[in-house]
Amino acid sequence: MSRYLSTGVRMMSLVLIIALVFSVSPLPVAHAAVTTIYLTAGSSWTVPGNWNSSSNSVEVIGGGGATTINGAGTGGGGGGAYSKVSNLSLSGTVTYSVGAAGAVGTAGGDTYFNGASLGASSVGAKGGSGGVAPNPATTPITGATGGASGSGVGTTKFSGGAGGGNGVGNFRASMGGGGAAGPSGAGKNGGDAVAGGGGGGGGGADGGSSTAGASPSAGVGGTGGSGSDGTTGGTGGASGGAAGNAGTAGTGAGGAGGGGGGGSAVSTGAGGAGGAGKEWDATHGAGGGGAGGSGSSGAGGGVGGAGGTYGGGGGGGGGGTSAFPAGGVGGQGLIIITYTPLTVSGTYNYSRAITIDHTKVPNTDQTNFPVLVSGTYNGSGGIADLRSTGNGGKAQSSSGYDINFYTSSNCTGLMSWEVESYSASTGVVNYWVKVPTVSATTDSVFYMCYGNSSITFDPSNPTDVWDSNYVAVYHLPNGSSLTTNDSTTNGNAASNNNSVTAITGLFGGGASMNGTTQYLETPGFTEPSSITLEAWIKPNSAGGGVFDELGQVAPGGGWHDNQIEVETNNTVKACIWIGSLSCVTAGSGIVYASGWYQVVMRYNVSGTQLIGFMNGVASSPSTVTKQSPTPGPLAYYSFGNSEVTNAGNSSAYSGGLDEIRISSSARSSDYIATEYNNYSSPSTFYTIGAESSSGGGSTSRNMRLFEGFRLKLVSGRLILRQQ
Amino acid sequence: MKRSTLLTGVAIALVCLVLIIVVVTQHKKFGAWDVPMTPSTGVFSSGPAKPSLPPAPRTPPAGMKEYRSIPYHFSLFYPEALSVSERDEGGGARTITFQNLKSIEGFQIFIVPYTDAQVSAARFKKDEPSGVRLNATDRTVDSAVASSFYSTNQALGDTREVWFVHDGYLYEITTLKALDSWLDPVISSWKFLIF
Repeated sequence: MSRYLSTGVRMMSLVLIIALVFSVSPLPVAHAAVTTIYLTAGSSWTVPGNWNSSSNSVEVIGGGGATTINGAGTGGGGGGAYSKVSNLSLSGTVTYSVGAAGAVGTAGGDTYFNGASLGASSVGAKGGSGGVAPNPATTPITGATGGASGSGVGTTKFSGGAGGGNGVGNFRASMGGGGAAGPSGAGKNGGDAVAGGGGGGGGGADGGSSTAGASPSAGVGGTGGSGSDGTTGGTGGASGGAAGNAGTAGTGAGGAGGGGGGGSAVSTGAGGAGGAGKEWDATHGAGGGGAGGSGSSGAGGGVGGAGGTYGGGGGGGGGGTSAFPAGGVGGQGLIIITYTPLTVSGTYNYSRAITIDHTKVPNTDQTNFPVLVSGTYNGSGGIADLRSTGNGGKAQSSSGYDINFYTSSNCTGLMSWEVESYSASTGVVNYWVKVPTVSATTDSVFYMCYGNSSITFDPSNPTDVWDSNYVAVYHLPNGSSLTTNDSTTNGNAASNNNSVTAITGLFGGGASMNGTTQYLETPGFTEPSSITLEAWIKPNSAGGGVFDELGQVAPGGGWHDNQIEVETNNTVKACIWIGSLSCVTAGSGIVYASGWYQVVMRYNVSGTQLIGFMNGVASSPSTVTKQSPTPGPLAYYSFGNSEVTNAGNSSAYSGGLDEIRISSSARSSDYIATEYNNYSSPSTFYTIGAESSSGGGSTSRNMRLFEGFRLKLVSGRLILRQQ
Repeated sequence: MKRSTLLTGVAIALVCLVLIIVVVTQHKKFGAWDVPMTPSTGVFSSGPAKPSLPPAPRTPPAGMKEYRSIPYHFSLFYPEALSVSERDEGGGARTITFQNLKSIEGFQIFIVPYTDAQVSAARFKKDEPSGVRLNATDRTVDSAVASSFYSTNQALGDTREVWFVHDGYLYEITTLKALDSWLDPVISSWKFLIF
């Protein structure tokens, strides 16, 4: 029995140990996902509503310098510097500059963020210098300097690697470019050139285990430096009469340098490109330096390798007696923004179901449809009271930040929406809510939750509302001061020419044109092959171009193609250019200076089909082939401008304009009809249900009584023990 | 090790495990962790039309002081040996504590905006995560009908709770269970101030 017992005890011990192990194992802790944004072009960035000023970092890499062209072999460009800063407090729009890649002897551009210059920025990094060439050929040269950390702005700063140089001149080989600096450290230098014709290797990037590029030896191109994780650089080209081998690009976490071109009396071996780094992801990292091309005693030498993406210096071009080869260009700069988004917390006091009437959705389900929730919600007659509590309403935030949309009735499944307008005092709201599926067969339901004092930021995610086929969306909100921002991620803000004014639109604000000089115009963007142009118009009188596609900035001359035009006979035409103007009547029965009309032009390149729409109703299609604007490839769109070539009336548009959209696809007829049903009458498109209440304040009770102490009953007597 | 020995050992271990599970579940049961929670039955009405100035201070009995809350429109008497502190909890909520660390006497009042006439199950669980609500009875607090019950708190142990809704607010009064009768005169002195 005792043996059984001891075995049982041993088994029990084992069970307890296992239980103990599981019980003391740390539970996984949920972390909010980190958002990383890369800026590689542009000049302004809108700070997202969920920006977290207490958990963010901004890192920058300057552009890599390039070499120049000269007959005696040239020096490599310097690598871009790196800077970082953490926990920036940002709001609104931030100005930035991404350092340009150096080309033909120029320095790489400085990269900086939140300021009009490097010195005025919150974080900035210097670009690498441009490579230089010996002149006369026998003059020794020194390598181009990498971007200096001392010139940068930030709390962490590293310098870019210098381009290679040489001690004695005229051996017609060239030098490697410097590697870019990165989060782990400075970039390494490019390899120097020596007599014998091979090119110098490019320098490795981003500190760590990175190494400098090697000099050539006995005609063999120098090996590129290693990347920060030790990945070896490209090997140099072999010596000999044949062309040298291009170096292999490095692939390390920090870009490795490219290998130098092989040297030879007649060599044309190109330098290898610097490797692209992978510090942030597979395509974003600090680039290695490009290698130098080989020299030649004859005509030309090898071209220099390009600097790695991002910030790598370009390798020098090989020398020769004539037909000098190009040096490598530098890598461009990069901005990396990383932050932990603020998340919605707390509980909502109220929620209401929003039910979309499926009979207002013809034929087909619509996916990720932007539903307009619009109206005056002030609690009158039992409707939702979206005014702020300070105005007697139920929104805790005076900015309406706690009026949020969800897929589930318990306020889970946060959706994306854009706030076109919100009035805390009147409860007048215009929201664009991205609804995953708007069904044509059953009513679709989503939920509006409000009254949550824990939400102190805008959680709306507005750019996500507009699918990738939207090239530009202009709400023209406000009604008192005209803004022409594009709601998509494309940033195609329209210009306001000759003071187009703000008016009350169909919903929210709109724009008013005077019929003579006033118009809005988009920046240029690649003309979509299939296209849908949409707007709501309220014409004052007959005539006027609503949409006009241009092949140049200036309207009225050059290539132009009237797209939508109000006619003198109470009709609207949709037109395209097919060598001459080809039009369809989008709709008729326009009453001037009266209501708002939805007008749409759609061209589907696959069917070469032009269709116009008015108030959701399609015209008879026309099969025609549209010509693209010239000179192109960019197209510009003006709204309200007159055109010489027209569908019957050459006047400018006089009247109101609202909700202008350009899509790079042919939106379906059902989609357009659903838009009309929703936007012309939101209150019949959906119904907002009765209010559900969580019973009141979102703040839960904390036990403050004897806070910091724990009560114990000892010998029948209560005592307080400090926790 | 013989197979029979091993099997017997496993059997003993299993028996032990079953015993542990039984003890734990019984402890939970008798510890009232799983007492079904029902909403408060208190239904309350708002006061009559109010004059604009608060009424004059009240005269407390010997050994007591008056506490009055102008924002929340109430007054009560409390033992003068207690010190009072208030904390804004955000969202219109406030906690007022009356306590004496030496004598280990005290109570707290948590007040939060509340639109419903009855305390919902969700609200109860939100403020009383233990879910414990024992021996619930109705009692009056001035003109309000309150639900009085025992609960439990991790730091305080067993507690006496008196909850009621009045004029758009939920009031939650908490003291130690051992101080149940000590709290009685305090609650009896409660007056809503009409102004």
